[in-house]
Order: sequence, then structure tokens, then C-alpha cells
Amino acid sequence: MPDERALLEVRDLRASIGSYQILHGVSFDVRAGGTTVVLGRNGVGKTTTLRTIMGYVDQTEGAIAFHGEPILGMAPYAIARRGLGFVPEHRGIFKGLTVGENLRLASPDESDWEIGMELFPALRGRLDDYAGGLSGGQQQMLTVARALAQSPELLLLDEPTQGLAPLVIDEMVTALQQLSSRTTILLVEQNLDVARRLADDAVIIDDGRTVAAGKVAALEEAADIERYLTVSMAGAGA
Amino acid sequence: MDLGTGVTLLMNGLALSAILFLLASGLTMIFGLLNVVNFAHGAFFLMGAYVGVALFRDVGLLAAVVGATLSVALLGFVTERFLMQRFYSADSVMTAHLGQLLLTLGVSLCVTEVVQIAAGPNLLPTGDLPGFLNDRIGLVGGGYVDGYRATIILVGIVVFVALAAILRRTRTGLIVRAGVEDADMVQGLRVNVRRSFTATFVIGSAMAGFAGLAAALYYRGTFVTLGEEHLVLAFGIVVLGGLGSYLGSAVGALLVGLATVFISYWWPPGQTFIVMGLLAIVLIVRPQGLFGKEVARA
Repeated sequence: MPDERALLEVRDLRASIGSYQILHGVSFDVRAGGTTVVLGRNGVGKTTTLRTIMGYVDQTEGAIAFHGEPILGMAPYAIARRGLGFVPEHRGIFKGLTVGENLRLASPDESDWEIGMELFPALRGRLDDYAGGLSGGQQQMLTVARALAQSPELLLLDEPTQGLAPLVIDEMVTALQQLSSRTTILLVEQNLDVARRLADDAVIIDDGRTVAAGKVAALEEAADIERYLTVSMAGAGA
Repeated sequence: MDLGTGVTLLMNGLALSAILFLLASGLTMIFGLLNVVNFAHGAFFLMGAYVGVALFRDVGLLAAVVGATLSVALLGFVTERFLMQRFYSADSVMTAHLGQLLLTLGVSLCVTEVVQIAAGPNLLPTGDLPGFLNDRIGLVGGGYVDGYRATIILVGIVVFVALAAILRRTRTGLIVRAGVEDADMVQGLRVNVRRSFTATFVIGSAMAGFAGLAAALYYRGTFVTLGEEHLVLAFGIVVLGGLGSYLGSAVGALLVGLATVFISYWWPPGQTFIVMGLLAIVLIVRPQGLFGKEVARA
């Protein structure tokens, strides 16, 4: 039986970047032990929502609580130290560092890298290679493995399948399914098939606001979920 | 040019390169990690020169080295901690850069004015160097290098090796190298990157202060335009070597230092013109500099 208490609570979140207000009221819960997906079209505020949770956006209002403790306004490193891991859009690896150095930055203790190596064995033989020389899929695997080296309690993933080949998407989804039994995941995804395979709960954002939240299956029955998405079915390899 | 003259000029060029490397490597580290174009770096160099020369004349060489390095490190700490940090969270990159540009320019003007008021507008000579620094060391073809230039070349090599070891072998170095690529992502890995910013700015400033003293001893005196003259060369070196690359700074400093000395020998009035012209040509051919990466910055 999954734990039903909210690990992360986001309430009426508003955020601006420069003079542009991106979020106008985003609210949702992430319960511990599950995978929650944030769905929505391009530019509706999904990435900004994750970046605001991680402390990367300065102009904010509303409330974010992790384990009931407020974290809005804290520096990103302090939020990460609370137990949040972040895999950003466009990977965020350090291309001038080797694979091993990328992992060492997350944790100097090599035993902490093991979970990432188990999920993505392709990385094991490439520790001394520069990360910039990896394929796009391997770079994405490295970003996830690096976040996992810190054993985050909640892993924020921003479109982890974006730009990947269908076979690699399948590999990534399988790895994330295995991971979801150990770590709570908050996922931004436009690919509905990927979302269906990974998530129990969904939040739909449109124009910087939450328009629906609940179980994925229930939302699909109750709402015209694809109306809020750009990509619907293609490419998941499922 | 006979061999002896060539060898002597080569050693002078290497000594100047070592000084320029000390100045430029601090500048490139600060730019690479903090994304700050530090116009105050030349003023820090100037302050190091004046504090160092004053202590050298009144106390001695060791006091000059320690005083020049630490006083400018402290100035760097105050600048970064109490002024610069206000601009890291600006609304946009453009606002941040404009704020940093104006701030560092302001700090530069203030420091230069304070130095000028305290020391006057005239040349402040170092006086005689200790014996071993004045000794001539004979080289091939009748060329020579004096003890001071030989020492500063050695210091440049030691600093380069130490910097490489710190950047390659320590966790601090790993954080700096990663931060040069993406400081935001480093924070997402539980690293208080602001602390690294402060440390980098302080170390870069300390190196500028030490380089200022080294330059004053090289020229046997200091003057109020010392900072701005060398800052222009240092900016050229940083851009030539590739922004954020200490290796690029070393190679750039070698090229600029040697070119400056040899061109000064052949045609002194054309020194700045030719050195900057060479920089421009390199940048036209390779805009990212010799060791820079073609990375679009957010």
C-alpha cells in the first residue's frame, strides 16, 4: 500500500522571470512513494514549475512545502540538501568533465553511484570518457545517474525522454519504472504514452495554472486530456 | 639580432608572460565561474603594486609579498561579498552584466583614485632588490637573465602547476570546472556555489595583487596607469586563450608576453598596436579563443 501523505505540497504558486509572469496559480500534491506527472503544452509553465520548486526562480509567491516544511525562497543547494534531486531539461551534464567526475561531483563515495550503474550499465565502462562525447541518450542517463548518486527522496525530472530515439526512450522508461519503487518522482512530460507508463498521478497545467489534478486514468476519463498536450501518442515505443 | 640579445629578450618575455599569466588566470577564473567581467582586476593589480612596493621599501620582500597578496585578497572579498553578490540575482543576464560592469568599473575608479591620493601621481621606485635578485645568470651566446626575472618565471611555472593540480585533483577544482560550465546545475547537486564564487574571486584577486607587486619589481617601480595598461593585455589574453580556460591564459600570456618584449625591441611605438592586431586576427579566425569552447551561455 503506498504512503498517501503528501511529500511535496505546492499551493497557489506564482512566479515571474524578468517582467514576465509565467505561473499564475499552480497547486498540487506529490504523495510519497508515487510518480506524479506534470502535463501541458509547450510554454505553459511546466519547466518553470520545476525550476521554482528547486529554487532557481527568484520572483515567487505562494507556498511550497517538503515534508511540511516551507522551502520556497531557499537557495537551490539548500533545497537539494533537503532531499530533492533535479534532472533539468536539456540534460545539464558537465561536458568538459568525465563521466566519473560528473558522478564524483554528486558524491565522492563511489558506492553511491551503484544505483545509477545498475539502471544504466552502459555508463559503467565509460567513467573516464568525457561526458561531452556521450550520445544524447547516454548523457540523459548520466544526468539521472548523477542525481541518484545523492539518493534523493524526491526526484524532479524535466522531460527526460525529450529528443531521444524511440529505443532509448523505452530504455529510459524501463529504468524510471524500476526507480519509482525506490524514489518518489515528479516528472514533466509531454509524451502521454510515457506519462501513462510511469505515473500514477497527473497534474495538468495550462497558461500557468493548474486546470486538473488526480489519478492519470481518472483524468483521462473525465477530461479531454489531449486538449492540453501538443504530443499525444507517438514515439514511446510502447 | 645576435643570439645573446635574443636569449636575453626571450627571458625578459618569459618573465613578463609569467606576470601576465598571474593577472590573466585570476581574471579568467572569475569570468569563467562567476560570468563576471571584472573591470576592477586592473585596480587590484595596481593596489598590489603600491602596497607591495611600500612594504618592500620599508620592511622587506617577504612582507611585500604577503602584504600585497593579502590586502588585495581582502579587497576582493569585500567587493564580492558585499557588492557583487547583489547582482547575481538580477532579472536578466543583461541586467546582471550591466550591473557588474558598472560596479567593477566603479570599484576600479575608486581604488585607483585612493591609490593616487595616497601615493601621488609620480613613479614610486622600488629601490634596490636584494642581492640574489640582482645577480646576472649567464646564458648561451652571451645572453643573460637576472635573478628576479628567473625567480618570477619559476613562480609562474609553480603557480601554473599548482593551479592545474587544484583544478584537476581537488573537489574545489571539480566544483570550479563544473561551475564554469553551469553554476546553476552545480547548486542543484547540493553545492553552495556562492561560497565557491567568493573563494574564486578572492583567490583571483590575491593573484592580481601578487602580480601587481611582481610587475612593480619587474619595472623597478610602480605608477598609476600600471593597472589599466596591464588590464588591457590581460583581457586580450583571456579572450585569446578562451574565456574560463587557465591553460588558455597560460598560452595567451606566453604569446602576448613574448610578442610585447620582442616588438618593443624592434619597434617600440608599435608594441600595443601589433599585439592587439595579432589578438584581433586570432579572434577573427577562432572567435572562441585558442582553448575556448563554443558554448552558448544562458
